Amino acid sequence: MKNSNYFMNPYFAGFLLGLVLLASFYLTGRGLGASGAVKSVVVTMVEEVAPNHAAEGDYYKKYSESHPESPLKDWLLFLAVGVVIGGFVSGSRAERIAFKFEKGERASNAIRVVGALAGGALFGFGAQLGRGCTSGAALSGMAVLSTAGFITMLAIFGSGFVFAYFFRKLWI
Amino acid sequence: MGPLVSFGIIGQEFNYIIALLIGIAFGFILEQAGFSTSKKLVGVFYGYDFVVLRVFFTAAATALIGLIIFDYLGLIDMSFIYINPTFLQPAIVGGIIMGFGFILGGFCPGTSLVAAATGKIDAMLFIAGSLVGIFAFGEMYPAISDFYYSTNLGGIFVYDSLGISRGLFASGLAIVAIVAFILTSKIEEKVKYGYKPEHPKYKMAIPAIAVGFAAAIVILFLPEKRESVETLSAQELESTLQNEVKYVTPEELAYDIYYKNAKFLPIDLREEEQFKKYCITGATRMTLKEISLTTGKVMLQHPNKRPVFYSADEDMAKRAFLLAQKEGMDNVYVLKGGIDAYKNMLQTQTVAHKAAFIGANGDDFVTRLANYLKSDTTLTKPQERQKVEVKVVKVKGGC
Repeated sequence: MKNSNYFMNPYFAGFLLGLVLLASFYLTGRGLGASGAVKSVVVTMVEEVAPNHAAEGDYYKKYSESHPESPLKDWLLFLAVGVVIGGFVSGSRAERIAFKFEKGERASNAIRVVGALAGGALFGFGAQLGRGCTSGAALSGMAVLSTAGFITMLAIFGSGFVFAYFFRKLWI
Repeated sequence: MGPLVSFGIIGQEFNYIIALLIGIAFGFILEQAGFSTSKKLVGVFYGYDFVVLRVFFTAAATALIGLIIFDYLGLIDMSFIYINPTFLQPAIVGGIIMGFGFILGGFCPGTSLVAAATGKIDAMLFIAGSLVGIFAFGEMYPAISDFYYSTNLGGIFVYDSLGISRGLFASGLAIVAIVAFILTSKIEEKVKYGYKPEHPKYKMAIPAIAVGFAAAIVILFLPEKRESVETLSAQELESTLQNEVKYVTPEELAYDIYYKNAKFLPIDLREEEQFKKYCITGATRMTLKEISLTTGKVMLQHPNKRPVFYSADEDMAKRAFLLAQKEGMDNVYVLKGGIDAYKNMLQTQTVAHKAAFIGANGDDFVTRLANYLKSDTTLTKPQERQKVEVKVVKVKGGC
């Protein structure tokens, strides 16, 4: 296909994503999510490396209680595995698979490495505090019209616009 | 009726397969939309690429309009849908931290997975960072758990918070989204800096907006909610039933229990607390909701027993009767006067059709019945095994 490496029309992509989200609610009663999968990996790692510590910490205990069989038997983790597969399939189809290190033109490699690590850490922390990330709290929350969904969305994007100005050298 | 997993139509184990399939579709679409590159994602914050806003709002609008229509058509029971609870301050502070992370990292968790799948090294670093961030939260949890659980407003809806109707809010949101789509494409044209990959012209933009607008108008004029059996007023309930309720009198039921005919199956619809204090001998507790569930149906469609619904008075039992009829169960009954009438019969020992209950020895049936049941209240406590084990799966969700 000649244009297979163009990105999809965003409105059409959004419409399809909305249908997937609707299907998720219809089939399972829950929306999409991503940071929850990372959480299940973290809990597994802590349980493997420091089982005593995991048994004492309230946070890990709470998680284990809701996942009696294994912290890895988590709905969102299965979803995340699917996301990786789906992303890879789509990327291969459009010939976009390649090891790449992307950054803004004015940012140095070192700054991008630190930014990606720190950004991930902040996002991971914030998603725990805010009970979900862009997909779990904001997108799925907005679809069910929960107040939390809209507040989280406004907080993420509002704060993004403010910090964007101060960190513009990272990207433009 | 959906959600299919909650109603036991799809098994719990298969639910994980569904998660995988939904994830594949989710990841595929995100990658197709261009969410696998940080330079495109952060464009929304610098005004050179609003793809995030377009995809995000179109997806939310599609899903929410779809849910409202499904609810209206009775295809989905919204009470089983996970509504993420609002903890006001943690949500705001968490969101602010996430926004900061978005700018520094160039991704959010979902998009970082897609980007890593296509080989972006910066996305892999972002994921490594998020492991650290979640671990840090776990370690700090004892210190911040008070804040984490503070300002809990519960599973509230944004239209209730704003004090407007659901339809009005949804339509308003659609209009805001359309205005945002038009304005941001104008901003995008003016901004010359930033990463702008070559795009074909979006020929579908105008039809897409038109369809969205039409859907918004439809939603505005849809009634707030389909009348459900649970929310019918007493008057509406009577007019729906049109005196077609099939009754069992307290005497008939007592007779059946006493002689162990077990022709009837008493179904208690009261709150669990009241049920535990006393119930009619042999009763099983059920909620209105459970009547529509597979496990509830199996119990109610017993080959040899006729379910008799009872509540304190007749109201709830009639609703159950109506629900059961809608589910195609004809062999159900309502206890005349409810458990209060039953209690009254036993306590006062006056029976309307006394003659029918005089035993062969000529003694009074009700007196013997009261002795038989041998309790102060003349009603028995429920036995453990009589409690129906209906697994209502209310999912925990979010990230």
